[in-house]
Amino acid sequence: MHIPDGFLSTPVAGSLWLVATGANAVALRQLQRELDEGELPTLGVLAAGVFAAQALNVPVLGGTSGHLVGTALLTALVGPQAAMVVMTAILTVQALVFQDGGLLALGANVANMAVVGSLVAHGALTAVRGLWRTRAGQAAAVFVAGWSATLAGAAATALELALSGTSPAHVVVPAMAVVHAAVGVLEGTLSVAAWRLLTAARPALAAPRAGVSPGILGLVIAGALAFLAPWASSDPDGLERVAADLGFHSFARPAWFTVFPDYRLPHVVPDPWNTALAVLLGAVLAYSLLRGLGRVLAARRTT
Amino acid sequence: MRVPGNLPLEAVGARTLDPRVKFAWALGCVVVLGLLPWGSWRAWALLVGALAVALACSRTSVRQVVRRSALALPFLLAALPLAFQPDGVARLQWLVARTWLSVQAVAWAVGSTPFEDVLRVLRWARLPEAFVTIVGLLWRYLFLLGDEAGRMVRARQARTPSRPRAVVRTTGRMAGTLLVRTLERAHRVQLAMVSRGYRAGSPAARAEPLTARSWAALVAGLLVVAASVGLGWAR
Repeated sequence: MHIPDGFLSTPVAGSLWLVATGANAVALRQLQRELDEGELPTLGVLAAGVFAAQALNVPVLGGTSGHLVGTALLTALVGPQAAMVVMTAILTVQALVFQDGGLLALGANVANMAVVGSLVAHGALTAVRGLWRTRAGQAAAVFVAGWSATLAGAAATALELALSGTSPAHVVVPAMAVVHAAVGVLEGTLSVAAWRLLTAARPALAAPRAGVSPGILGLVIAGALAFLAPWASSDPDGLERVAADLGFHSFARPAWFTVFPDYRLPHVVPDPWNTALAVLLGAVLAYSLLRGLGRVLAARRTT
Repeated sequence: MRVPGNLPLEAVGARTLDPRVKFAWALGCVVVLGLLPWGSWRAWALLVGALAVALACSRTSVRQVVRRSALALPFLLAALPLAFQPDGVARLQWLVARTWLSVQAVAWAVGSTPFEDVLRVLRWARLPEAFVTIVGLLWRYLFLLGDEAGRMVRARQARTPSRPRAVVRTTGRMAGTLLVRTLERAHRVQLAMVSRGYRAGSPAARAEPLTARSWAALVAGLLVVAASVGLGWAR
């Protein structure tokens, strides 16, 4: 799933560099706050171990082979921040030395496999562990995390290819989703087998790790869903349909101000992605407003 | 574990060039190729010419160039549906040409740069020292743990039945065993480094200024990239 250079347009690749850099900067800052001085070498050696574990290929159908990626396993063992930084280090070495993935496309590869992968895996782990607290439940959580991280990374890759004009969205998104839904089963199974052995040898590793705040996680999920907006139904909603049928549609008056009229940003990006960007900005705006309101209310309560 | 694409030791011309110049040119080349309009063949030819000069100075064999070209092949499958769209064949041709040249430009920079110099470039690019330390340690222990993984694969092939379910379960356990050994080794490495004076965030050495030769190479390379932009947009 490593995108080579040339497949992404420069604006798409550049934007994903910003996403990857920002997410890693936050993760690294949190890690440096949490880790004791001198614990960084542990992450470096762990990165080498995961990279080496990726060499353990499993033969699959048609003479091809698959291997563990490790994002979900790492998230379960060391938390999403450390998993993100370790996976970014692995992807950097793969791009700079082994040429697995491009240099300009490195931001996209980090965003898909390290950032989206670790956040989706963390969300899945938190959700399933919350529902089912036994050891079998924890193993199920690792499986779901491995499967969903693989699928989310593949969906993000497909959307980026479609945004760059490399492949039509209606072909590449379903194709990548179907293939990686199957690949995700392998990732989940390998992750569970490795997790069982690791937590049997070192029980402390089974404890859930501190993660990102639910608000940030929700924002990331909202951002991912925003990019599905171009495929949403273009039919009117219930009220608009009734208004049109009963003939009172013409009574509607335009709002006295507009920010993103009809979920669109005029003259910013071409048509299919215009709505996605407007929805994304709307989600960020709503999150910022609610966060600001929450801080004001919290400050009033303490005074 | 083998490092693919590294140039032979006699490739002195490329190895003595400052790594910052090589990476700046390769990145400039990739960025411009991504920005050029579809079918900017004259700009593409100019960049191919510049890369051919760079490869000739590096004494890279044609075989190595062809082998590197295979790196992006699997992803071309994702672009094949383009061929069935209006103007799709021409767009697919441009995509293949653009990807091939991008891969070669980065392969030239990476293949002629020792990894210690790559780390220097990362530091010079102001990446956090903690991240560069992680990347450096990854590289240092990769071959040791990679060889261990290779031995485990040979042992599995010799002992495990070929039933798919058994192979998947055994491979997962092997990954777990490898990570248990990795964590033990990581703890020993941490203790050894701290006992020898390692502290997180130790200041890195300052980057040396570019020599006159490196400046000349940088300016020449960027002029070629700028000329390709002009050729691409002046169609």
